Amino acid sequence: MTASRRRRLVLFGALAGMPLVAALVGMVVGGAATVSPLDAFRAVLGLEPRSIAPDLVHAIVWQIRAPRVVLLLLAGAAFATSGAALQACLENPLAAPSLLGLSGGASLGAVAAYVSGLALVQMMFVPVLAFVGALVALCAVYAIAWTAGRPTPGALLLTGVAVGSLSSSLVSVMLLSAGSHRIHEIFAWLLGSAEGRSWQHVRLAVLPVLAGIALLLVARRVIDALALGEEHAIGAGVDVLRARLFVFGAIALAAGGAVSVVGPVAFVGLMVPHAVRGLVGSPARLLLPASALAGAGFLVLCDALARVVSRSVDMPVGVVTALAGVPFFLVLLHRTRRSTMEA
Amino acid sequence: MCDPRRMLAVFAALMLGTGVAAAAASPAPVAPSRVCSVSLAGDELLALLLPVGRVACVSPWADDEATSNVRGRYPKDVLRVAAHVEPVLGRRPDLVIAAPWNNGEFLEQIRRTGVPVHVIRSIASLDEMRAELRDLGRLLGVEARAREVVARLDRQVAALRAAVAPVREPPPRVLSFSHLVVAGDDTSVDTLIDLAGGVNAARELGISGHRKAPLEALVALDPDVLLLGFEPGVSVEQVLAAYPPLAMTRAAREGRVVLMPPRLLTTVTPHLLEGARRLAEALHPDIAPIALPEGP
Repeated sequence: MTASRRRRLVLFGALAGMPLVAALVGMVVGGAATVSPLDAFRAVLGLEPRSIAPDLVHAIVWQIRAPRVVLLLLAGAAFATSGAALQACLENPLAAPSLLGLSGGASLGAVAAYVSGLALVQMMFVPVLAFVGALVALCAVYAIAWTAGRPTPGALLLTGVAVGSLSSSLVSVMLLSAGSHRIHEIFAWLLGSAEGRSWQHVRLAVLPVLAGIALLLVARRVIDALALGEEHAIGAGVDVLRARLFVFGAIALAAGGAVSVVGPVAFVGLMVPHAVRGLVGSPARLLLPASALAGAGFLVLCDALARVVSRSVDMPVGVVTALAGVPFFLVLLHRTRRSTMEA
Repeated sequence: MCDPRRMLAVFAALMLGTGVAAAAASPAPVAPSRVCSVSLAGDELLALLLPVGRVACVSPWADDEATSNVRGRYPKDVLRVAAHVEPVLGRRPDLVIAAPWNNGEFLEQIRRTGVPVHVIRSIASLDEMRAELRDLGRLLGVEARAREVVARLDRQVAALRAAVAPVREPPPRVLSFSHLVVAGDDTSVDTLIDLAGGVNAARELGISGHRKAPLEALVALDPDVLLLGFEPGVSVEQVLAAYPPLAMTRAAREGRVVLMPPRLLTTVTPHLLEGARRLAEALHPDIAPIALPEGP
């Protein structure tokens, strides 16, 4: 075994351990002050908690924290993998799923469910309409960019920004007509949070997210070709339009499924692939699975941090990722500009 | 030659006479006749104190099924206006009644045009409610009516307290929950729970005001009774299905859940007593049905 292969194996072993450690931390720390980490840990192991009612601790750990942690693992993996694929596909290091109107469309669907009262008829209307909104927005971006000529990376990004802005405006209009008693709930969703999510949400999201990630892994060679530029991809025999459509479809499933259950969590799709690229390099066969593992662990750890920092408020995880993401984005922007000038 | 002292005395007499005459001629303060309310709290308070003919506009929330206690009270010719300067001024009001949560810039713009603005105080307790009713009564020139409303409020409070006084069990710990938000100390809901003979469980979490609290903390709190504030037409089962962690509480498992429209929970007017009556009957099923005194 060569040294570089051994190093890669160690790296992937560490990355694979990250979601597991994060999941354990997410299940054990933070949350209600009355459940001590030791009691929560005993409940995770299936042992009887010592300090307060065992039923209560089991319910909190397995019915409240566990689905939340699983959803965040799925969402983190989906956002990070989609971001890595999109940055390659659009040849833009600053690309992220939210730039394609996915978050805006999902927000529109979710807020419509809350404002119309459908959310109370059946809570699953929120993720279902959010998922539909994300898919419609992404289709609209692709269709509009197509009608303007060939859907080039630039056209796709600009159209994504426009569709995202339109969605935001429509969300604002709906918020103005929403009763004040609903506003807290809607804002909690718009900030990106997994609070109150159940195993029902996990069942809803698991299939599209895993299918989307799997499709992206299948398309790894195409993604590598697209990352080198359209001319290179065409030279390598890739049908660029069809390849982009395939990747977009996979991103719609993965990121759309994720955003529908945890809301628009910002910056994971931008930050994680960049951090991972520095460790494993750019080949999609390494970058995509590594991003999935790191993204999953990162999002759960951010959520655990949010719960520890603000026990009585339950800060949405989207706030933590945004706080971490803005400085990261600025550094990245600075580096990108410097390398462009040097080139 | 004129004596300067005499001249000064004449001048002083003239000044005094002019002042007295001016004072005699100035009209008595006129009670406002075109009052505009830009919040639901104002709409409900005006409905208690003023004849509809003196109300020029109310907020759009006056007609809201979920939150308003004055739905159907104001005819269509009383305009519904949101808190925006031009539509409010378009009604030519001589007094604007606003709430503490109305936009400060909007209120400042109204004041700059010379229209007086009264901002309702933040009301959480019965004393604050009484004080606001008296203040508004003076401002609107309906002191006698305000006294009647306060007296009726006091009779209703006394009736409610007397009804729950014989209850011997320790007061149940009640947790209010409405769209992820719980009401802690210093809220009208806290007053409502106290009137109904319960204690507000959210106080144990150190919550003050209306706050979004982690569902996990609410489950760990394990209240005796859940007080849900949700729109009409929504059932307890739907709420518990929408917020699965709530279904894990002992209150939900043992069926001690009270569903109440938000209009009775969030109101800062004597309508709160009706909410307290309903909650008291639900908390203490052994006591006789409570009749709140009506009339002036």
